[in-house]
Amino acid sequence: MIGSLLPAALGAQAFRARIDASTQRVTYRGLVADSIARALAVDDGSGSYFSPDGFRLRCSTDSQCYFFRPGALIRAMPAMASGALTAWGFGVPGLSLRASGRVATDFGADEAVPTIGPFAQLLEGYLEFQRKDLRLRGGRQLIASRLEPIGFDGAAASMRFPDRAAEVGAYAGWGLDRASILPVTDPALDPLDEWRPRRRQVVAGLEGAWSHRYLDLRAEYRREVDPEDHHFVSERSTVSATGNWRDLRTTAGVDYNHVEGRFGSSDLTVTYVRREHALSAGVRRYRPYFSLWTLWGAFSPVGYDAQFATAQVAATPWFSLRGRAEHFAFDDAEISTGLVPALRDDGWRLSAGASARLPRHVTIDGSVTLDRGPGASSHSAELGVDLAPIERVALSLHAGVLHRPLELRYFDAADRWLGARVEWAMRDDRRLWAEVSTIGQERRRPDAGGTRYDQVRLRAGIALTLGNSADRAPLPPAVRPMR
Amino acid sequence: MNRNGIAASLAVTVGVVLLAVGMGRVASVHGQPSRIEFPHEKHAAVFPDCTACHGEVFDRAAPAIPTPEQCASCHDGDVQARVRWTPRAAPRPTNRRFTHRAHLRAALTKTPGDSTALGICASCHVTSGDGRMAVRRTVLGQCLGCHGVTVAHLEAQPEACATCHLRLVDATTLSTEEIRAFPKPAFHDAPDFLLGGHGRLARTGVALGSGAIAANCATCHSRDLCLSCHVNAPESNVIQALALDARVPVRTAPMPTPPTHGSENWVRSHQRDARRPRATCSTCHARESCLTCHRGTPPPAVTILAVREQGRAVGASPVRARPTNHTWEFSIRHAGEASARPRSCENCHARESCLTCHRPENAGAGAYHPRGFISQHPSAAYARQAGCADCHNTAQFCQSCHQRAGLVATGRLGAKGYHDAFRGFSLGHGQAARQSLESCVGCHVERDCTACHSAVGGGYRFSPHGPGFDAERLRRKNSSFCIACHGTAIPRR
Repeated sequence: MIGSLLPAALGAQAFRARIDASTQRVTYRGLVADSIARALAVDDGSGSYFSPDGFRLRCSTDSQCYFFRPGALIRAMPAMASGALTAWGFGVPGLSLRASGRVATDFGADEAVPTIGPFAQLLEGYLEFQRKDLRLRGGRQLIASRLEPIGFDGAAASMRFPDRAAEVGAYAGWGLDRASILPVTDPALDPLDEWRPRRRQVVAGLEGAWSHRYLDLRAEYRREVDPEDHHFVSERSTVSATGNWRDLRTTAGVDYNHVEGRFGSSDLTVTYVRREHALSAGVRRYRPYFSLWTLWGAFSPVGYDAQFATAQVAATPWFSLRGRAEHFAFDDAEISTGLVPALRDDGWRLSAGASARLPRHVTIDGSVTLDRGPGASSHSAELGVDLAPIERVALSLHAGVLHRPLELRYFDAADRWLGARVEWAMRDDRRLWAEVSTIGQERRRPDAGGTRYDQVRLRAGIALTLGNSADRAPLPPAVRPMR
Repeated sequence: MNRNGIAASLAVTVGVVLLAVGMGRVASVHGQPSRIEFPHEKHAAVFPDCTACHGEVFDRAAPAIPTPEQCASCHDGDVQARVRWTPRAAPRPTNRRFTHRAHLRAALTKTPGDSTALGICASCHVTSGDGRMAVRRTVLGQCLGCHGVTVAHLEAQPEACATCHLRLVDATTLSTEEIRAFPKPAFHDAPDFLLGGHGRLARTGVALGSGAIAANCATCHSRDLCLSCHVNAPESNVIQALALDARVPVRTAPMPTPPTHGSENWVRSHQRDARRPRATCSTCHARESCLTCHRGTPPPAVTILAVREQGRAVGASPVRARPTNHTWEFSIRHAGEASARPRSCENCHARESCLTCHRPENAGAGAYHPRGFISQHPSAAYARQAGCADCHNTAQFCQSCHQRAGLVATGRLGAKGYHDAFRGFSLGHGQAARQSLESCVGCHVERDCTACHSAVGGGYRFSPHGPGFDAERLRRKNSSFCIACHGTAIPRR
């Protein structure tokens, strides 16, 4: 893929390219559904049934009882290389080519890591023409906005009005699936053989922005339409704003789902920032969103409201403390049955940490996190040390513990990990890194399903930056340097 | 006194002596009223008139100094003891615009009747009130007095310097050391002199109509000094008015940071200053200065700056600093700011920076999640700590991984008893499903649910619709959505 783009790059007067490659070795153990005849189940006297080898069973009205036993060890060795290219100087001022892609495969026996296939994928590839007040793009591109990132094969245009500090833009094309660089019709996006649309959706959007000394406003409207029956896949809009006044910064935004006729996720944060401390507080509302080619929206998922506050204090120039607290509560799901108890519908998240910068580029950072909510909880502590023992070499060590109880399944996990990463910046444009970590995980259950497996994870990668653009080339000699 | 004390005393003494010698040499170069080695007072009786030894002073371009033969006429070893005297072969290094002949001609032209200028040597070489033979090279105060300078020498009006002094580039006899030893005017120590003050003074030359730069600047400096700091030297007529001269020492001390740059909001507010028509950024900053931080699409104020090249100063080299609002939890809440003001982000971040995370898996992906997140992710996902689906395709990422791990559903809910910690989960799953449907989707597909919740196909017809469900609106937007469970008999309500 990169090779196919090289001729275009060679025709350009300037280009910049980056190549990353990495691989890792991962092993983990999954579950395997199993069953035994009901006649073999052992009643422990409390109404619970166990298999002869100690697994807790679910026995229904038929003659079989079901359970999950630990599966075989799954081994994966994904390897991935990605490249990004920007080239310009084709003889047309303002014209540039931007492309990125990747190749990936799994050398492991089980091909167990998600998002590896297909082997070669084009992440982005578009031509851009940019003048002072105008920008045009054509090709595969990704748009990152408040309405989640989306990719499409099409065109985008935006115009700036510097006198009015305003900008408007529009885009349209054949969309890619959510959080994917593959169209929704691609089999790789359907591992469970779910129903899928037969044609890619058409996506179109409008954007507008206005900037003022104290206020920035941005609005976006986006719709996705199924070209087969011309029905909406989604139709949403959003408005977001940021205000600055002295040391106060206010950020707010709200989404509106036209299909459902109600507001979506929204947030308001006020931050007070000084050099030695930063305080912020805010509220946010989270509401899930599903495309209309799925049926999930019919199940009326509910959102939650949260209040949060954060603080960061630099007690001394080398020592800082930080903390965050959030409480959230789900909307009433309007479901109740007297036969089973209700689940939790609220929770909180707490985290605190401290960081110390010591001489010789040594940084020590520690943090604890408590997460208590419906469905699952966790609490963890982590300690990390970053140091630069010699020039251009960065070394980091980390260790942590985590405990995670689940609410709906007996499968608590207790993790301990210890790892190290070393990064060698051979030059400004060449970087090598390697990681090694050991993870000890104990999965606790009140039956034979409790397992323990430890593993060693190895990762290594390289990043190369190539190019002849001004910011990559060595600086020309000056008359005399300032010292 | 111990040995160290003696050594220190010697060092100080030698230093003081050397300094004194140096100062004397410097003073002689710069016209301070230094004494002349020749003992004129002893010869007062011998030479009633200066012309006995300096008679050709008004006829020559160079000072008329007696030859050894003239001295030997008396100091022949018989009449007087011999003396060793070797006149310098070349004129004394100086930046004075002066010869006795030219000075006399100019004086006569200007004031023909002024007898004081006509060969009365004492008017310039003897301090008023001293004896006739208390000769000094130049009595500076008397030069200034005749030329109308009523202030101290180094505080003279800019245009006054050129009356007596050559431009530095024309004073070719001076060495680098002699130039470095130039006395520093007091106004160079003014608080704002380095940051703006010297420029205003230099431009006064334009206002006075005497050239593009003040004459007093050119007296002591060449363009090389300006090139130590001024990135915009080629665009500055004032600087270009100075010639290049490699003898001139350059500034090596770091420039002070302007007071405006030290404010807490400077990172945030400097763009406004840069956009002002009279912004002075280009004085100290080359484009590379800005590119230290502005790695993305540079704003127009950056693109108009010059790139580093020959003939310019390197310019200030800022250190990239994290903006104060990028606190430790900024990665959590950056979405709001980024969506409201992406241009602000673009100032420092290239688009690739965002795509490192906001792009499906690639080899250079950053580590957004903390270490150990693989164990923590059920709690983070269930309570929607972050929008998983913004970055992870539910089917490709969640379902495929859960499928490998044996976690996906293979039939109607409750049959296999995965959720065994909640007795009666099948009956009470509704709340969990509505609270975290996105987590359910990680293991379940629609047919698992429509087995009971569909109005067609043999389901139990349990209605899945809950609070806020607007059936009519959804039917208008996408009737296929309704047909999937209701067939063509979509109920109206």
